[in-house]
Amino acid sequence: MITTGSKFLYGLGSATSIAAILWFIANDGGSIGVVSLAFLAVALFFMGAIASFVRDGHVLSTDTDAHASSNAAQRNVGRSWFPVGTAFSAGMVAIGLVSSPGIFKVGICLLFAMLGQWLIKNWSDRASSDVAYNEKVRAWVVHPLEIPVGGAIILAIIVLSFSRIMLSLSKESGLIVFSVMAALVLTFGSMVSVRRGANRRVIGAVAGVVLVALSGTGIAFALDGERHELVEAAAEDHFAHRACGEEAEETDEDAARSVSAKSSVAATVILRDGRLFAEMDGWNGELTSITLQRSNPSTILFVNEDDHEHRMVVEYGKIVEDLGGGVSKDTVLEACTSLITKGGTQAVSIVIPKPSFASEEPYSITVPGVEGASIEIQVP
Amino acid sequence: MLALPPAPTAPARRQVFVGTALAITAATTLLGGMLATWLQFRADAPLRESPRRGLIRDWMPEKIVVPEVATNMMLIGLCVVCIMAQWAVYSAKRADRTHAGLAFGLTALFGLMVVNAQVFTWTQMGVAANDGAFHTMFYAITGTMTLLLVVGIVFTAVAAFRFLGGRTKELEVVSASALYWYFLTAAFTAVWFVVYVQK
Repeated sequence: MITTGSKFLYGLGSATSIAAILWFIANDGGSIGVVSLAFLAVALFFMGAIASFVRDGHVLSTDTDAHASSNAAQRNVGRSWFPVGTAFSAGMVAIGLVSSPGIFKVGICLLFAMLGQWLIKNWSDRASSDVAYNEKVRAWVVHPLEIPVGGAIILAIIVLSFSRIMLSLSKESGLIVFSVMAALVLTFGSMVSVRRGANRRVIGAVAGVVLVALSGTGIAFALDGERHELVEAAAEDHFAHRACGEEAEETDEDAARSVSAKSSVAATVILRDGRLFAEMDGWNGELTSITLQRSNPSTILFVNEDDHEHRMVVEYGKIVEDLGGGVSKDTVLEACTSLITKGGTQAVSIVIPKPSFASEEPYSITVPGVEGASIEIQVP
Repeated sequence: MLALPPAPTAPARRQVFVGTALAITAATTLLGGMLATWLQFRADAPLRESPRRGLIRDWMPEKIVVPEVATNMMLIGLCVVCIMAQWAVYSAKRADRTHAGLAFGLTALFGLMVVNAQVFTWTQMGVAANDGAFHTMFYAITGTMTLLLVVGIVFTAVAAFRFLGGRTKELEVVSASALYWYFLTAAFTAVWFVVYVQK
């Protein structure tokens, strides 16, 4: 006898076979539809055969010995989202493999978490015949890990959402928005704490709604992008920008103008009456060329005795980085002091990686805005 | 500490067997879709003049040579695997651990041989995955097939560990493992014919 499940699958297989033939006729032998439908038909016939083989998992009414062990007589397995979660994570891993390493890594973490949860759930379901006790057993094993990790994830969502909102709002409106939000949180918290026996479900629901709203707003702001000033700053690459020019910049505000007496100074560079010269221990007079050690930190002290504000700039070659594909990036090795007023002192510490003869550009100390003010650096 | 009676032993419900069948169904439709795309790609390719065969479809780069001995050995090897897998089922049903162990070992060994032949084929053909549509599709299909083969070897190893580890009454996983190897042989026959024979 063909079982009900088999009939359904055989029927579907037959219909798919007919569809394959019709496709073949209608599309003049187009292979993509025919082959796909033929494979689908084979798969359906195969499943039909399997359903026949296992008799749809049923036993005959006359086979009374098998009634107790039939599927229908078994206790239902507890509902679980972990198989779905595992499938979702596996899909995420596959997508991450071809799209982004971040998605892949998150997918791998999720996959292990889901498999672990599934394993424990499966084990706890067979711990006893009492469903409530089994759930308790699962909680004993999983909660010590599940609750902190879940809390950390929720915290990360809150922090990320807040950061996206902060980065998107202007400084002025951010102040207002966050003040109002803080006031609301304080009010809600006060109400909950004042009123004894507040319904935990209501609090949970409110917290859930707020979390969803916060993360939704965070996602919306993240898609909208950061505020104009931050986009500009990111494009400009402030970290690569050194304030080593003649003009005053942000970094020159409130800069230190004195140096500790304990600073181990390799050379003292002095600007006096438009002349730049150096002084070194063991050398007499005003030097226009100094010698520094290679691969060791050297501190150079700059003393401005000129009437105007000046800074000292030390240039010691460049690094050429091969980015691949015939593209290279040049980074000038440069260090400078802040703008300092008359009588001020500031030091820079540098580590020169290569000897001076190995560099195409000479190593030098200059003062922007002072014509001819230059000291040569020799590195053996 | 609570002391409750253990849960009743669940009777065999053929979950592994039916689950394997479902996985086979999914893999069949996946491979079917891939082969259909492959055939459509071939049918849509432009024509070119071949010194030996006249006008042919220009879908496969001229310099690529398929090592047919290796690919034929893969098919023959998979047929042998089916016999070994069925031998494992036969021995397991008779609780013959020695022969079952031998059959499991040979199943996995021949499975590894097929994977090795696939890797040999890849190295001999020298196809780079990003060189063109043929190359990408070739690796997509043969890579999927190899992944399915590796799953088969792991499945056999699991079945062997369970049976040889003492679960001699649980024959379902052994039968499911054999069913999976039958599927692999049938699937590889289709891949072999379309990808390696119909050049």
